[in-house]
Amino acid sequence: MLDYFIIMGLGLLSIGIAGIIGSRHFVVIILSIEIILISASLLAVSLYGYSYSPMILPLLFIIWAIAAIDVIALVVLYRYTTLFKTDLDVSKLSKYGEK
Amino acid sequence: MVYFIVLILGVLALAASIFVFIFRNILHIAAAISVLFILNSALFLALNQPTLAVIQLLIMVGGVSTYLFVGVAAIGYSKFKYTNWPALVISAAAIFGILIYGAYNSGSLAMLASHAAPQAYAANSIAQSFSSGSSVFSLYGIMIMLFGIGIGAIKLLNRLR
Repeated sequence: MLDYFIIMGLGLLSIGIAGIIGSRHFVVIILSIEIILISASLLAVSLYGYSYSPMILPLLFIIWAIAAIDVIALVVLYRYTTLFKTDLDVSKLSKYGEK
Repeated sequence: MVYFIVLILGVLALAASIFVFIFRNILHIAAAISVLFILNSALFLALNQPTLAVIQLLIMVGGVSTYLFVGVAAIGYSKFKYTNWPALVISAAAIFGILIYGAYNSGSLAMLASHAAPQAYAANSIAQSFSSGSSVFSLYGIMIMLFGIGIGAIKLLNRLR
């Protein structure tokens, strides 16, 4: 059964990384990072569960802390976007400095 | 039977993650990501980890509500074509192939898969691991990091006013 979880986790990880590569929308990129973190937690819980190791919790808390940082980054960039009245397009981030 | 349920949950989770890029409305995207979170916590239950499944659901509530708030508020700033489908599909296939090749040629997965079932982390064992050894220091480190990021974000927002 571990094979199912590994294939699912790696599938989610590849979709998340491909979402960062193939999208220009900031919210979609943040949600792609969220998909990567979901796959990381799934892979960590499955691998640690099968290896009978109790040291999963610090790793899971680091993953959840990075998810919280994602949310903070999203709120800060939304504030920038409303201030400069630009799109949520990451390819236009350099224009923030010009305004 | 358990294999079949896990397979269904996994296929649904992969489909929900793909719908994040198919939908155009941020509300629908947030619904897809919340379905993905719920399926992930159901997979935690299949892995015999009920406590972690509950914690995952609690984290989902906070994260998805913030995504909904920001996404709906910024809906006027989202009117551009943002998904490059050929790049997304080709990179997903290539990365998945490389990861699967690497995972199944390492040999360590076969050793883990020989174990019968995953070990459950009950609530009391989680409390024990909080209070033992180096876990405490890493948790303090995470808390300090989160406080620092929160204070930095507030300073940055104040400067923008």
